[in-house]
Amino acid sequence: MSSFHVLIRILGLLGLMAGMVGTIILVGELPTFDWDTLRGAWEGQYGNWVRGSAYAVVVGWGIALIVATLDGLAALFRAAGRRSILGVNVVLQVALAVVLLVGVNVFSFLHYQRWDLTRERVFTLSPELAEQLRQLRGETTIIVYQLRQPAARLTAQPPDRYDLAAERTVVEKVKDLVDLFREFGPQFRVVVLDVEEEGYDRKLAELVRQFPPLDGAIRAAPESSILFCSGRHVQRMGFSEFYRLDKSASREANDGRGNLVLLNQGVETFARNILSIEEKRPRVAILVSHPWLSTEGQVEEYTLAGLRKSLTNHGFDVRDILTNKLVGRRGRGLRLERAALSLEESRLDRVEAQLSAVRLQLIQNRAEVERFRELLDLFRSPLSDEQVSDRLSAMFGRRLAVGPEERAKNIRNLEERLPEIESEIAEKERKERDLEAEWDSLQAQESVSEGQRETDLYKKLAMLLSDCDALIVARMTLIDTSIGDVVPNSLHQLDEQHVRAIREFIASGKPLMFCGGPTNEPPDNDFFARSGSGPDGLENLLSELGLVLAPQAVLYDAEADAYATNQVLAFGRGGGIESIPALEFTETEVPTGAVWEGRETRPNPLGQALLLVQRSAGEPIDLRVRYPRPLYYRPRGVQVTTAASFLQTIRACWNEDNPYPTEERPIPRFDPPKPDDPKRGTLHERRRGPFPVGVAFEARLPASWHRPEVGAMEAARFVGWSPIAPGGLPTFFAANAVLPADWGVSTPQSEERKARIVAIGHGGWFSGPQLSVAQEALLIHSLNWLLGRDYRLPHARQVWSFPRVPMSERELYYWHTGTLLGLPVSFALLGLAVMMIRRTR
Amino acid sequence: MRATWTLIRREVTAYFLSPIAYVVLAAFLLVTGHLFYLTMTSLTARGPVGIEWPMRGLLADERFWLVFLFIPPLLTMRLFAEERGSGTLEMLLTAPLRDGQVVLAKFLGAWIFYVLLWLPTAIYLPVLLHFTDGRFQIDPWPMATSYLGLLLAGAMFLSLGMFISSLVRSQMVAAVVSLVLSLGFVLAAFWRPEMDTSGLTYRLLYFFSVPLHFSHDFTRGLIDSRHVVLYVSVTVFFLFLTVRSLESRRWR
Repeated sequence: MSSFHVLIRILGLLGLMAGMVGTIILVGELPTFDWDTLRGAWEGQYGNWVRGSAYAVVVGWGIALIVATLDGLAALFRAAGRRSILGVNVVLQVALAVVLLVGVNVFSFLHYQRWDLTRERVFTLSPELAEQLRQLRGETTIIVYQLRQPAARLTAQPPDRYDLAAERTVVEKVKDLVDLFREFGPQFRVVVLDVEEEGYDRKLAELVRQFPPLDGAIRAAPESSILFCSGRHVQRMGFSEFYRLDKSASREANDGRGNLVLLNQGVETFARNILSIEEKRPRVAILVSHPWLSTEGQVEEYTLAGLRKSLTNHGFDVRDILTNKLVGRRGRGLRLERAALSLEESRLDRVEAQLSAVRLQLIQNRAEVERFRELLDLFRSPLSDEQVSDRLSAMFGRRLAVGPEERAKNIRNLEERLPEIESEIAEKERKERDLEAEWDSLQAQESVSEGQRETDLYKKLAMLLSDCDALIVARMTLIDTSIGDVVPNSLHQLDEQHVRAIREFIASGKPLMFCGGPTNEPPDNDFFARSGSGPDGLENLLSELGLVLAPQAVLYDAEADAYATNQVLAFGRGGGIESIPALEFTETEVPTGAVWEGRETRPNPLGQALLLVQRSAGEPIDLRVRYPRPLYYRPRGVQVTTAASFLQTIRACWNEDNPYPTEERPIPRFDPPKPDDPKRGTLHERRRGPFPVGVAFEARLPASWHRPEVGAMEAARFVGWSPIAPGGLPTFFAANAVLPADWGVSTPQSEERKARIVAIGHGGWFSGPQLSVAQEALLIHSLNWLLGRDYRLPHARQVWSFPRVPMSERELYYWHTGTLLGLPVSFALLGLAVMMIRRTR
Repeated sequence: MRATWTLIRREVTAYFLSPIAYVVLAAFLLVTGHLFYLTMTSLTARGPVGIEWPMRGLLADERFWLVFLFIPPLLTMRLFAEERGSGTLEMLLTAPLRDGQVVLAKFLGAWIFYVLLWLPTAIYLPVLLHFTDGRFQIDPWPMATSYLGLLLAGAMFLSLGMFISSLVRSQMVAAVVSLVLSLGFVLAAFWRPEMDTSGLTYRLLYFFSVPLHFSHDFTRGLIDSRHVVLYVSVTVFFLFLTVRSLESRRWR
């Protein structure tokens, strides 16, 4: 070997050493190891030390590669040179083999197949779903956002090892699923955003630049989430919507030894989020009777701000609709007029009122300034004191006399006061400009200007509801009966036009959530007696669908105890919310008496879902309200096959017709009904609990709601049969003459329409600036069911848990010892024996 | 063909007559036994701990791969280097066998011993599969795919080791060089394992990293054509190179 050859080889080894050292330094110094950071290192973005290392890597490895290649080629040709044709042939064959090896593997890298041989095809999507995903155009970015903290708690207990284990496992499952989605091609880009990862801020900034709405979605995420981004659309899905922990089952599994039991909610929800990413967000209308009760109400006790926040965070748009408008005062109270206003319109009215007030004040202030200047000029003028006094007397209409001292004092006062007023005027002018700008901006909104043009109440409400997908009616009523803290029913009463618009909304198949508290008002109270009470048109409408709203409030035994205590200690106030027992979820019909007279029905799907949510928490969820109202679903002429109740009270309570303390009965108590009580034996019979206070059902709509001719026929028939109606008999014959032959037969199934209704017997259920996690769960699952998004409801169709092998301690010991020591020692001894035998031979 | 079988039998017998085979067996079973112990602990644990894919407990652990790396070099170092060192290679090459048959026979001999190395682990299966009530309570397919992967990956490493052995005289050098080259298929898996899995860098690393093939696919009942093609093509490639290496001796 020549010295030149040796020198080249040494150079190659040095290059190899430099390359390795440079690589080690770069791995330690760079935050990530990708082409961008390597380029940055080469350009000196990370300092000279790193730049030097980058040079060393490139140059060192380059030299090593060149030397190795040259040396290899030289060796090849040296070998080939001995048998030239054969050698060249071998070189060619080897080169071809290398090309073939690389080519085959490159092709395999780009075109590959994966076979899922698992028994349950865990890693395979259904063919229909796979086909839908393949047809997606445009890039969808899936962001796995790891918050590294357990989800917001459904109960007050801190997270335990089950929660933490569930979080870890679900993260792995999510990563598996996104890998599965990557298989569908470049249209799915997956990014893992881990808050504890180095470079998180940079990654997040880059993503927010691409998807601006992502920032808000991440801030609002209460738990580790999967975010789907496409264009300007972002959808969020919590990890728990993918795999839900069943803590109760986890604790009870394997004969109490415990396991991790997760409820697989299926890939469907995940895939649907992708497929519907650009779809319009569902819009929920919230019908309230007063701005204080709206989502922008400022009073904590009444506001629905928490409701809006939760809905927005879960991908819903919200529209408040006010059914009353303030038009003046009546005595010490307010005068309200029935209306149908969006919050923006209501805000417009408010802005207009504020603008008027500000402008009036400005006129007054400017007049005041004029006057003060006039006075100042007068006092400063060279006129005598007498002349000034005469002028003042003429100005003010009474005799005024001023001397030199008074003149000086007045000049001083006026000089002090003028700048103050001018400053107030400037402030008010600024406020006027702001209000004008707000007014312009509100007027520019098409919905507001259209709404202002429309004066017909029915048309107005119908227009506001037309682009909404669901309606929530919230009617807070009883707050604290011990002190008469009650929102009057008259405030919630709807006009016939309102009811007509709502009927049409439901008739179109759209769902309604009715949160209505008891309508019992304090007896012997002039104000309530004057204002009117009892069921309004909406409650009558719901009764046509089979919803029975009891004219009672539920009182608890524990509350009565608290009443008794507080009568002495708290000046007659009732017990606080902490004295109220929590409500219970149910999936079966709640018995309405000692004897169960109902039929067996399928479990309520919403109740089932909520019970699963409770199982996730591992203990009963804390949801409690005062004075809930019993609700029942009793449709006429329809056999109920699915239980309607999903929420009930405990047993230790009763239904009270008069939940107010009276002189004769200062502390509420349960008195059994008298034998001659007319309600005895009916649904509203005074009795002990439990009571259903939440029902969810799919109502068959009366034919007259969506077939106007049926309504007309029914009306004509009614008139015709009525003995006192004018033209009764002739109308009857006329109506029958035009009736179709099959009239009286029920509406064909193909023409039947249904609508989903959720009714909760309390109007303040979602009040407050922030909903608890449990309230939010109830709200969102109810809405998902109402909107027909049953696939989003928690279910237990697929249960996952760690595999377990039951083994006694003794079995475990022998397996451990046998495999850890027995096998190796056996073969070691065998080897020794073989060696000994060989030696003897 | 008979001559090839004779050579295969000879190779396999040579392993069992050599102490190194038993050392390898004992060490290998000690490591797999320990990993099985840990897996069994997870399968019989209390509380919310466990292992979803039992074979992952055995084959996705770094300790397994660090030990596994030594096995093919130890099995293949003697294949040609020892023969060359002892001078029996010429005798072998002048036998009425083509070079390809010699290579194939030696390779199969090593591979059969490698398979026999894994046979005692079948004793773990009653626990790992938990057969009761006429049914495997734990999915058996991941076991099958794991063993398939092991056989193919083992073939790849063995062919690499055999090629190196055909180039050098010293068994120790053969073992060390094939160990270092095998690192290229293993080390990448433990380098920045938390890398973003969507990038091209990770996908390339994943393509070459045998431990990742097992932790992501084989131990979970998945067969990816990329891995199979890689193992088979590299095996065939190195077998080809070994034949060429042997042939080149004739020119000298």
